[in-house]
Amino acid sequence: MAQSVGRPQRENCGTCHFYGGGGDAVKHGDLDSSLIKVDKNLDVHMGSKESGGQDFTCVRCHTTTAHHIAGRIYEKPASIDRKSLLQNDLGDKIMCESCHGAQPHKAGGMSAKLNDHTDKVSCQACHIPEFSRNQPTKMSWDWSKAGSLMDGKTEVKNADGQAIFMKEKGLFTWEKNVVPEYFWYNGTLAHMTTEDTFDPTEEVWLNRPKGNKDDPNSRIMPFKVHRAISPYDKVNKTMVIPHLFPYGKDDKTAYWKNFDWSAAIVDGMNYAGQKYSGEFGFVKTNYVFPTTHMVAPREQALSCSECHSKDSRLKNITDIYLPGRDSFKLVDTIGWFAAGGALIVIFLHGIIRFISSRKRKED
Amino acid sequence: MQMPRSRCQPFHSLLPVTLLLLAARPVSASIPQDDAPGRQMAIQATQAKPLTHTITADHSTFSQLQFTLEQQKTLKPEDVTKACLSCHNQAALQFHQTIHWTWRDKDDAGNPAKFGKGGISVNNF
Repeated sequence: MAQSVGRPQRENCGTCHFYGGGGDAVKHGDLDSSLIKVDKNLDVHMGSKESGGQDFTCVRCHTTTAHHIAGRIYEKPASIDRKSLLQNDLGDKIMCESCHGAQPHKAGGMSAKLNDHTDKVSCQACHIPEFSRNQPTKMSWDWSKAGSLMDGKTEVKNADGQAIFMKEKGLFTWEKNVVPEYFWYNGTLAHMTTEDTFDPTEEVWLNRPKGNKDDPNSRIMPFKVHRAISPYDKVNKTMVIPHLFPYGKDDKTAYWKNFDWSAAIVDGMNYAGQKYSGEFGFVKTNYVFPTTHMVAPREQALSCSECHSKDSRLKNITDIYLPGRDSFKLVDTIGWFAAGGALIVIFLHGIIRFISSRKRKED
Repeated sequence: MQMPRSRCQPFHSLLPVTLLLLAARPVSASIPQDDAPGRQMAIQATQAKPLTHTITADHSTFSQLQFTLEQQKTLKPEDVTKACLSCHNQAALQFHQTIHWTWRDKDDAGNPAKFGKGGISVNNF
């Protein structure tokens, strides 16, 4: 083991980060074990040299300072500055712009139009057309179905061998080649804690991308949205932390041993030092993950019409006028009348000139 | 100037054609090119300093990292960590400051905050 001292490889980080959420490909959508030995088609940066990729390790972009690894997203962005490393060699090299700059496309022509987009649209939005392109990721999770059996079984798998039901965890769905959802994003997420209250009749966003159209640091960014049905405190209208994993054989409260939500929540909330009314229910929850890995070869980047059309991908981005998607009926009507009117006038003018020229000849 | 589009006009079917024509241009023009400014910068960034050139020690020759077959029978991962820390004497202290150790976000003063996996955050997976 001491013979392999060196910089961490993708397997090292991936041992945890590819298996988040309890298994391979469960959590992120853009991170799973297929990135250990990977083709350029799935990820241009991490793809093998033979396939035309760059064979980057994680730490090629997740640069470190005194063991602090760039790229963790809580309340602060991964990097404050969208600077290229040519401008700032000592900065965290975690943004696409760190290497590619803010004018990544060829100058001139239609490429200039693409460069015009970089102040509002993230690189990821166009260059990761779909995530989980090699193996399916978990897209929904119904915790309320846990504790019972499905068709008399403790575990049911789909055709791909992935569990769609487990007695411990409940009911799941998996999806491959998933089209992301898009939100304004300034590099930070607003997170809910067990101290925040909510309206349980609506979907609860456990985290949410922060940012808006007027913020110069915000971009339209792709996300995986994981939808679930989760236990919550019915009286306090807060989320709860259940005690899931048993401490040992004698554990009397762990949900995965005793299948008693009430005891598990009491113990978990007690451990976390949080208030619990004693009455739980289930509520619809959403959790977002920024999609930033699995950058596709440039030939697969989105075409204009993926966003600029009536069937636009940017359904969540409602606070801007998006040409091709949006229209004002009045302006459109005036425009068509003006255009049609101009045609009629041209036609009439032509007829008049034609007639008058014939008249001139007759004279 | 492009004509505004409308649902109720008979000419609206022409607009997608116009858009398609516009959209088709950059694809054929930009794919074979490697001279995009960002592409050049990225190539410069990845090729300028091969990381192997920055490594100045061969760890396989260090006596601290030689373990006899007898030792290896009872060797624990923590023992190797100790061997690392006997030379890298700041590494543990640095690591204790990171999120990988605290599982907490940091507040503005740089101290572990309430929020984080080790705190009171919640997820749904």
